[in-house]
Amino acid sequence: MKKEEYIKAVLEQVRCSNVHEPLKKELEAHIDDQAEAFIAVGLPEENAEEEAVKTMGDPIEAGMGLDAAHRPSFPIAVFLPAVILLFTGVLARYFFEDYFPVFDIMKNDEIINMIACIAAAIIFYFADYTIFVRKPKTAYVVFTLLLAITVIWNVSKVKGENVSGAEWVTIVFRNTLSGYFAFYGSALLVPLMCGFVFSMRGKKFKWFVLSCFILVVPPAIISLYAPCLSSAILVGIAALAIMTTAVKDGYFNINKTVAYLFMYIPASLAAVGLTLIKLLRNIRYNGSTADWEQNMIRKLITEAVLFGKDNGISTALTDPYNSHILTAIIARFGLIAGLAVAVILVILPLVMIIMSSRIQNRFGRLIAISIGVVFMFMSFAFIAANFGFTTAMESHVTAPFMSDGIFNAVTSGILMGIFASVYRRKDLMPERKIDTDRPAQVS
Amino acid sequence: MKIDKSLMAGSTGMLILHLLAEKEMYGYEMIETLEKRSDNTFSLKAGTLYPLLHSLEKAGYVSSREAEAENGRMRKYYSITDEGTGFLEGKKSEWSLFSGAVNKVLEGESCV
Repeated sequence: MKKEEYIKAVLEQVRCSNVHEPLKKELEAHIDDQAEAFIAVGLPEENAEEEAVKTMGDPIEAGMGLDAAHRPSFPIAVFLPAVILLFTGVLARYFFEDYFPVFDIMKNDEIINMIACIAAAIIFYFADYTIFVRKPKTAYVVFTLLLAITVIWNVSKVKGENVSGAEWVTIVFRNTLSGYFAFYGSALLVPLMCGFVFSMRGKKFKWFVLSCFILVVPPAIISLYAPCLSSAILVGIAALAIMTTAVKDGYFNINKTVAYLFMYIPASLAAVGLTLIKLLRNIRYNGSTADWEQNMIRKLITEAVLFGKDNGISTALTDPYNSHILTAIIARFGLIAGLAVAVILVILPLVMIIMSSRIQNRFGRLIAISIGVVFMFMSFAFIAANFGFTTAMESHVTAPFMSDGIFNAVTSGILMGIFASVYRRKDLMPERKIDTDRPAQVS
Repeated sequence: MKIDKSLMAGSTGMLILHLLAEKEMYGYEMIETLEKRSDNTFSLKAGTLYPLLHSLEKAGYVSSREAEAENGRMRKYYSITDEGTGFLEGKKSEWSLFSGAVNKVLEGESCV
């Protein structure tokens, strides 16, 4: 049997087609090594390959063993909390109807949003996530431009203080819409950011610096123009996670300590700056609608009962079906129910990040960690707003899978689908690694 | 002398992990080393080795990386992980208990 025939017979048994190429390379190298050894002890070159193949054993048995070793992995530990959150949102909204005002149009949207979320997750689960490394720079630039156009198009053109009531409603609506576009668009930009950084492997410090700027500056400007501060923070945190993972995994040919300092000093200064701005804003504009909302939520949380309905003040919540759904759950079902939901919201991203560390493939690990960080930011910002630490009115943050709305449903579904798609191939290493930490032992 | 394959079946993983605990190796190198160390008693087929290596990798006991050899050929090098080291220690204790018990029975001593 010839080398090609043996390898073909092995691969025919392996159902996961993504492993075929790396397996082929590994088996080829083994047969070539064996053939070389035979030639070295005097076997004629024309017979060496055939004799080497004979030492490999039964190709069908080998193929079946490899097939068993490469059964797709399903991230059930991530899937379960996501499904619980999805159904918690639907059930909570169903029981809210006797408590909070609801519009008939929302009832129809509920089913559509749920189907959209599941469909998006399934499509991206079966799609090949390595699509993000095909033309990564072009994909990143095109998506960022589309995001910019969408946000600019939707931001209200009406400015000034002397606006009519109708104009004010339009301003609020359009700015909320552009904020949602910026926030969810930035979240969906994250896998493309990973593709962009992956294409920079092996580059030196100036390319590392350029990558940091390209990842942060354009989407942050778009977010602030929207205006959506939480989107800008999301971009910063996601970029920091991506670049930290990339530096740690040896993507760039640079001094790692210098790279960490370059990233974390400005990031820390930005965090301090934002906190100061927030404090100054609170002093300057104390008594704004956002403050009223925050104070009401704090009162609601402190007066909440462990089980059952509150005393009725929560009926004034501005968005009980979406950005305040956790506060609404506490108001309608009690503090214990709200805390249980908060725990699941925290578990989801934590499990994602822990599971990401088990992914062998460097690009897969980069995408999975960054998606975990996106969900972590969404969950923590949402919980903070719903327990009265910040205001949802300012942040536009919603709970992944649980909050109402097509943007949230589709974004959560897409990101979960990509994560699951990466995880199902977690043991594959199609990438030719350039590991600067451990020089190869060659013989 | 050829030995019954079933005698080796449960211990191949332990032998491979033991080799990798010494240094990282590629597949062909593992088969060669195993043959030399056992005076050709353990002649492992590649068709047995690779499914085992890939299963150990999936379980997190070994990790791998590709590197170019002197002859320009790309090779996949395997190394043991911390989890694999712990697993190997457990397997070695198990083996020591088992082989000790088998020897005692064969030598006619009481195991009690």
